Amino acid sequence: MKRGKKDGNGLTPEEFEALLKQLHPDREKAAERYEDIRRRLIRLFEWRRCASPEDLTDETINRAARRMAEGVELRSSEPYGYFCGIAHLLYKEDLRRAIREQKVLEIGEWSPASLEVEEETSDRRLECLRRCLSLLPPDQRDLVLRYHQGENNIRNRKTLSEQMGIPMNALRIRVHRIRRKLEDCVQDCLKH
Amino acid sequence: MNENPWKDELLERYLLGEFSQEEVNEPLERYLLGRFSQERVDELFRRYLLGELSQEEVDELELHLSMNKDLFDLAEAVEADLLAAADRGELAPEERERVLKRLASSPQGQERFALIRAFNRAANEKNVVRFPGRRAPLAQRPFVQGVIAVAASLLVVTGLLVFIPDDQDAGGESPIDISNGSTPASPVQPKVPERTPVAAPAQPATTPEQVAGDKKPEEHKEQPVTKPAEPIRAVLSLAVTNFREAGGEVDKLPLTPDLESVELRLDMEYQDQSPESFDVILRTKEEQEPILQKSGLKLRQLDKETVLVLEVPARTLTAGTSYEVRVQGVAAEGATEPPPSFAEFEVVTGGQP
Repeated sequence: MKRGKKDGNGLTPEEFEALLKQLHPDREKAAERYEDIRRRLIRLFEWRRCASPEDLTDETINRAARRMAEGVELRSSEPYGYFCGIAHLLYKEDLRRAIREQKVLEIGEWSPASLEVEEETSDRRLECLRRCLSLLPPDQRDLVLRYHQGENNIRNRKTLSEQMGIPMNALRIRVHRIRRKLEDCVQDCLKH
Repeated sequence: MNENPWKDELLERYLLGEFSQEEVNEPLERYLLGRFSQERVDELFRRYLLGELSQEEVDELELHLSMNKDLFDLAEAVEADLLAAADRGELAPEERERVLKRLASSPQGQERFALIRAFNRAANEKNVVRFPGRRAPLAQRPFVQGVIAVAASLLVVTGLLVFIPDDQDAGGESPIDISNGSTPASPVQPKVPERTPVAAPAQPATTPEQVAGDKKPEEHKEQPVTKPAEPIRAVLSLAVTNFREAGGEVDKLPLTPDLESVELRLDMEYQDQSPESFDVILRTKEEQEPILQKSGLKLRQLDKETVLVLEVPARTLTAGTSYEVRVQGVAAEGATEPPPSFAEFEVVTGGQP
């Protein structure tokens, strides 16, 4: 488990323990929840176009942990909401600071060229993806491939959802969760 | 509960979990029902992801994202769809540039886009992908229908009952109920009643599955018994989610005059499975009129899925009505009650898809 730290202003062991304890009595499950919350917070800051989503996420978690160590108790079964509220406030602080410093929040200059992934990396990623796909149960593999298949993709997905007898949004969520497992697998594969 | 729980003054109360889950969910559901048809999801999330919503709209949406994991995953899924469409050249040049600039300019975004491109490449390496999904209901497969027809004639003549087991064969790993052919499959799995295996004498295997040479023949033995035919049952598998899918297509249950009971299989794959038991209410979607309530249901493993099973007498259902199933995990003593989750289906007159 990562421990959020920013500018050397990390958590004390007590704060860290208070955080874990509130996430789940079982440490392993608490660790899973921590990772899930962290991942979702990073996405939230990314969607808000913050320059340092990971730093802001760590700071959010640190603040939550400190409040928990001070005795704040979460009564909701979904603790992510609490972190999200802190993230919301932190985002506003960050925005005000950026405005004060007259920084532009846009993440640098974008150019299409920056998206051109080197062919070698691209091939390696594809190779990793193939390997990870082969580890999936066949039905999941076929589902995610079929979802991405075809030229008229929108019609393709509509057909898929009709065949499966589930609403399109349920199909999207199902495919996305399979894809997320694959993303983790591909990242691991690329590191080796 | 205040009419608008999302105002700042109530934020802290909400964040500290001082609203009951019922209080939180009710306005959430109203919000979702009002906004989350398929088209609305696309539009709302597209505008959110591309930074086109007002700050107030962003705040409101993010509060919902903070509470609802399904909704959060849906936002990520829409993001991935936009990136995939950008890669496939399905967007107008201006839109494509906006999508890439907004969603694929950070290092993480670039990595995400690269992976989506890999998905598109992998998916189109071969144009035909075997798509087993959840296999067609056993009784709907063409060769089985033939066998059932013969068996049905035998029933009339001899009073024997052919035991057709659940679709637990090797090809049925997926929770998706879909035929192998191009015709959309009904999620409904009609079947003749199961017999108690213990009571059934061992017989030579002659079931449709064995005729077709499927694996695990020992699980599909024909079990002639001397009892008369029992009423027709149907099995309907439903995905359970944290929110209601307003506007999307829902599973349909064809109601035929001879149908006596329906086995609702509530797929709990993506739900909290920690509660020891669950309370389930079946009610009409519009009027919320309770039809059936069961407490203490336990999770079961069927067809490699984790499900709750609810038996519903067919006479309690009316064609042309939409139904909702509310699933509530029962928390252990002292623990926080998990949020409820939902599934829905529509009953149609028999013969409709």
